[in-house]
Amino acid sequence: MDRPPPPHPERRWTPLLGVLVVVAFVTFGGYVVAGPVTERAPPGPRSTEVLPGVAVTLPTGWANVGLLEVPVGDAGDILTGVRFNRGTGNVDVFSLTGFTGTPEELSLGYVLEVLQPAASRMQHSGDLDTFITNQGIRGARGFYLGTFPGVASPIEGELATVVAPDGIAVVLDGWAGTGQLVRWVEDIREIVRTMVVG
Amino acid sequence: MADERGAEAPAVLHRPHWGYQTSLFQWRQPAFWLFLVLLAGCSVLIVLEQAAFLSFSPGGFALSWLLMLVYGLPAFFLVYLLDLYEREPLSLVIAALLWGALGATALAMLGNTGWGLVVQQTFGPEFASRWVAALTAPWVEEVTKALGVVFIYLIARREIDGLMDGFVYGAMVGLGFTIVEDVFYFVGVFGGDIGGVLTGFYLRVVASGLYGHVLYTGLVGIGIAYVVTRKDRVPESRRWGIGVGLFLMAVAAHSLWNSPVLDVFPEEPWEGIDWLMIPVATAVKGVPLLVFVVMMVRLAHRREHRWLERALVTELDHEGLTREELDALMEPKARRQARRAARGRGGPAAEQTLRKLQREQINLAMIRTRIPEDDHPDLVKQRAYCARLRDDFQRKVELRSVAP
Repeated sequence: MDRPPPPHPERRWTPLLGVLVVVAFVTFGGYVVAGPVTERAPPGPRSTEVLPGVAVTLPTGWANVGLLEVPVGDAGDILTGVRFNRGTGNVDVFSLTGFTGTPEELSLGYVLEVLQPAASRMQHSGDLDTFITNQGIRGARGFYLGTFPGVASPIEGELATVVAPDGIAVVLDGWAGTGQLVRWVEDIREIVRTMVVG
Repeated sequence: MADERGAEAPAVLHRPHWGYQTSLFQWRQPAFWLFLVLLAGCSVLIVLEQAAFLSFSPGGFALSWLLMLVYGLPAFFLVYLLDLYEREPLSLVIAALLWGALGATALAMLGNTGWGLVVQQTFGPEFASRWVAALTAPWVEEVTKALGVVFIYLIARREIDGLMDGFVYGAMVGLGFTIVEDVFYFVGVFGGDIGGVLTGFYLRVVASGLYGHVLYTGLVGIGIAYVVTRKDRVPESRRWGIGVGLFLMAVAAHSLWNSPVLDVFPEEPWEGIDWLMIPVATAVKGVPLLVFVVMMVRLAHRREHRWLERALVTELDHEGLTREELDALMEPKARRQARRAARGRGGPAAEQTLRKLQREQINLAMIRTRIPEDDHPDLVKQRAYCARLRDDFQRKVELRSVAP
């Protein structure tokens, strides 16, 4: 049978190079273009006190977005905190004084009183990991996944809580859209590890 | 009598292996391997995402997929059967669907986030929250989906030989994309519980299912097919102009859909009449493109009809086709009527043989368009094959008529 001749070898490879260039540009180009934009933002201050008794050291590229106020429970109480951001990653930091519970209890309280009331649907890890900050304070770490009204994609979050001996308790809620948290988790853990409380 | 006729009949009526239908599995094509590698890599991302949804809401996840099958299966066959004269190889059609579901969605997920960052950092978060979906997703998603049609062309160049082919492959990519994206919305955005999934299904499928990715990528597919099939008839600048123009039209329609412009959606929470207003709101943005694409598909159909007629008329002088058969072949309705009549005269076996004969006569037309020589061995073989099928059909009708 007379088959049509195969395409010229050059024509088999050249379009593929074009396809690869298009894939690379469309998929990763945004990160490359956004990179320099991020770098133009002033780098975060070194070990700055962001809340009374709480100082954090921001990794390169992270910026303080501003103060946060979130409702707590049904009683109308407001929890004040501060948000840091880099790209799709966010860290919300809240502090309490005179807290007498454990980091695990603080974590559960934050989930039940702050996150769950705000979420359309939410799941959190039951078992928490423990860690020690550079300052030597024990903390608890858990994970959650939830959908929140007005946010286009599900949110993945890593929640770290520490309670200092003087009763200052800190919640660090690091979060990003589904699939994005992995990109920021090392930065988030560095913020937690280097935090100074009290 | 029946035995005698059986003895005269050819033992087996094998369809010749013309090789004009190309499958996906072109082991020597670099494009095939690149397609496989990209698809495999993207699949990992999508499977991880789907696994997260499954653990998040098993019931909602299962219901989402069930509902999308209810929508997706008829949509698949509708698009597949739109190509009335030359059905595309199933392996390529499924490859297009998979590229939309796995490849394009995964690449778009990464791309949308990256370009979303650019919009956010350039114009600020407030502007980005309203406009990022309209400014980035249309470009990113239409490009990643279009790559699926490009891959099909690079793997099996001869299979995209008409505008309808481009539409079918493009629409299949769009269908795969919309299925996975809708599951994402049902579980991720609408909450994943039963009520959320059903709300999502109503909004994204019942009220909007006629518009969206199937149309956008179908249009892009027509553009790609125009560029690659008109090389010998249309100047290069015009071909590319029309191809790029159709792509931009799809991007513009997608951007309008995602933007706050012409947004007449009722305010939440929706009650009573609000639910009836939702399809009106989606129609405002979706109907113009739907009308345009329907017109394009009809034009493509007419073009294929003319192509088929021109190819088959030249075969009337040969043994593979009669005038009566040609008249039936030219209209799908007439073809069905002829098969029904055959069933009445010769039973299911005769109907099946006539169906086969009609399909092979379409193949005869395909070969005719690709071979200029009237006495080419492939053409001669296909004509003889059609003639044998006709003999077989007539025998079955006659057998039935003499049966007690």
